[in-house]
Amino acid sequence: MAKKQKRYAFLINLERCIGCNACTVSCKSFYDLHPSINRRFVRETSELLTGTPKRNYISTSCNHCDRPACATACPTGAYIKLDNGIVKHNQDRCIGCRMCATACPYGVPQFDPVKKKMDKCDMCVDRLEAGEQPICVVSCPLEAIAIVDLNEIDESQVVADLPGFADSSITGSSTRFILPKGTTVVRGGIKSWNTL
Amino acid sequence: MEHAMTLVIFTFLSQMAIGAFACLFFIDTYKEKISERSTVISLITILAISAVAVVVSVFHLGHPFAAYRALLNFGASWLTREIVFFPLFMFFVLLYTFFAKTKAQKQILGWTTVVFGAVTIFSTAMIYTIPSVPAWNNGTTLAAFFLTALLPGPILVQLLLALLEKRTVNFNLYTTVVAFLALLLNGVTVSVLKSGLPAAVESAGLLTASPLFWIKIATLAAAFALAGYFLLKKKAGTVSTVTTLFALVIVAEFLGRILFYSSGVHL
Repeated sequence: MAKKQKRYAFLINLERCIGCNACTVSCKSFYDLHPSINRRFVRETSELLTGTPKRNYISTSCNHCDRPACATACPTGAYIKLDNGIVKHNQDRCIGCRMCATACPYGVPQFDPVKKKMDKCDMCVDRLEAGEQPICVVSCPLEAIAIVDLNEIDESQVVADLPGFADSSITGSSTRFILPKGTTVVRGGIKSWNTL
Repeated sequence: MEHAMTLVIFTFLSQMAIGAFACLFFIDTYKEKISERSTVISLITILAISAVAVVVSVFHLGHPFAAYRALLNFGASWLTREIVFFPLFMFFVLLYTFFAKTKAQKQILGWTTVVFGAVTIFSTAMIYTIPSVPAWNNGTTLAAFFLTALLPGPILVQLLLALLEKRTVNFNLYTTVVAFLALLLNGVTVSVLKSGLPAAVESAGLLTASPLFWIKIATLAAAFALAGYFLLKKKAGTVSTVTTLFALVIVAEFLGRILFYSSGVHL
C-alpha cells in the first residue's frame, strides 16, 4: 500500500512557551539573517486566553497555509506549495515587489534590505529532508514547538485560531496550538483548572 | 506601505490614461470631428503618461531590472495580469494612433484598446481586493479605481482639446454626474469601513482623521459645483475653467490614492 504523503505543520504548545525568544534568535543566527528580519516571532498574547488571568506567549512563523495568499499574489511564481505541506520561497525568482507581504494575512514575508528580496521560514525543509528537526524546534528549551503530520494529529486536542491571530480559514493556516490550562489561586497556591 | 508612492503614481497615471483614451476614442470615432493633429497629439500625450506610469512602477521593486520575471505567474497572480494588460493597452493606443484611419479601423482598434484598459483597471483592483487588508477587501476599491479613469481622464482630454483646438468640448453634464458619484463613493467607503472588521474600522478612523481626506472632499465638491454651475448656465466654459476643473480632480484623485495606501490597515 502506498504511504500517505505527510503534511507537515507547526504545533505550538502555549502551556509550555515562556516567551524566551530562543526560537527567534536561533533561527536568525543559524540562517545569518539580516538584523531587521525574523522568521519566527514570539509575542505576548491575551492574558484571558483560558478565562483566568495568566501570562501567555505565542511563537509564530510562516503558517504554511493550504491556500497560500503569498503564492497567489506573487507575480513571479516564487512561492511553491510542496506536497509535504511546506510553502517554499525561491529567492532566485523573487524581484522584491512585496505583494506577498501585503497579501499574507499574517504579514509573514519580510523584505531583506540588503538582498532586496523577500524572506520567510521554509520550516527548515533541508533539515527535515535530512531527518533532522527545524532549528526552532531543537532550540526551544521547553519543547514548546513541534513538527506534526496534519494527517495524524488529533484535531480535538488542538486549535487553529487564537485571539489576535488572523482567522485561519482565510488561507487555511496549518499551524496548530495547544491552549494553556486555566489556573486559579487557592490560599496562595496555584492550581490548574482541570485539577480542581 | 512605505514604498507606496511609486504605486500611487502608477495606479493614478495608468487609470487616468485609460479613461482619457476611452473618452478620446469616443469623441474621435462617434462624436465631434476633431482634427487629426489634435487627435495624434492627445494620443501621444496619453502614451507619454502611460510610459511615465510604467517607468515609475518599476522602482517599487527591489530588483527593477528583473521586472520581466513578473510575467511568470499569469495563471494565479492579478499583478502579473495587470503587468500583461497595461502594456497591451499601450500597444493598441500606439496602433490606434498611427494605423486607425477609417471608422471601421478606429472602432476595432479603439474598442480593443478600451477592453484592455478596463481589464487592466479590473486587474489592479483585484490585486488589492484581499482579505489581509479589510479596508480594501470590498467593491469600493474597484469603484474608486474606475472613477479615477472616469473623472480625470475625460477632463484631461477636454483640456488637451481646449488647448489644441481653441474650443471647449462641453462635458459639464458628464463631469457633474461623475464628480457627484465620486463624492458619494467617499461616504459609501467610510460607511462600509465602519461596519467592517476592527482593522477596517481603524482604517475609517485614519481616513477621516486625515486632513488630506477633507481636502479631497473639498476639491471634489468644488469640481462638482463648478461643472454644475456651467451646466445650469448652459455654457461650455473657457480654457481656464477646464484647467481649474482638471487641477481640482487631479488633486482630489491623487490625494485619494495616497489615502488608499496609507489607511489600509493590515489584519
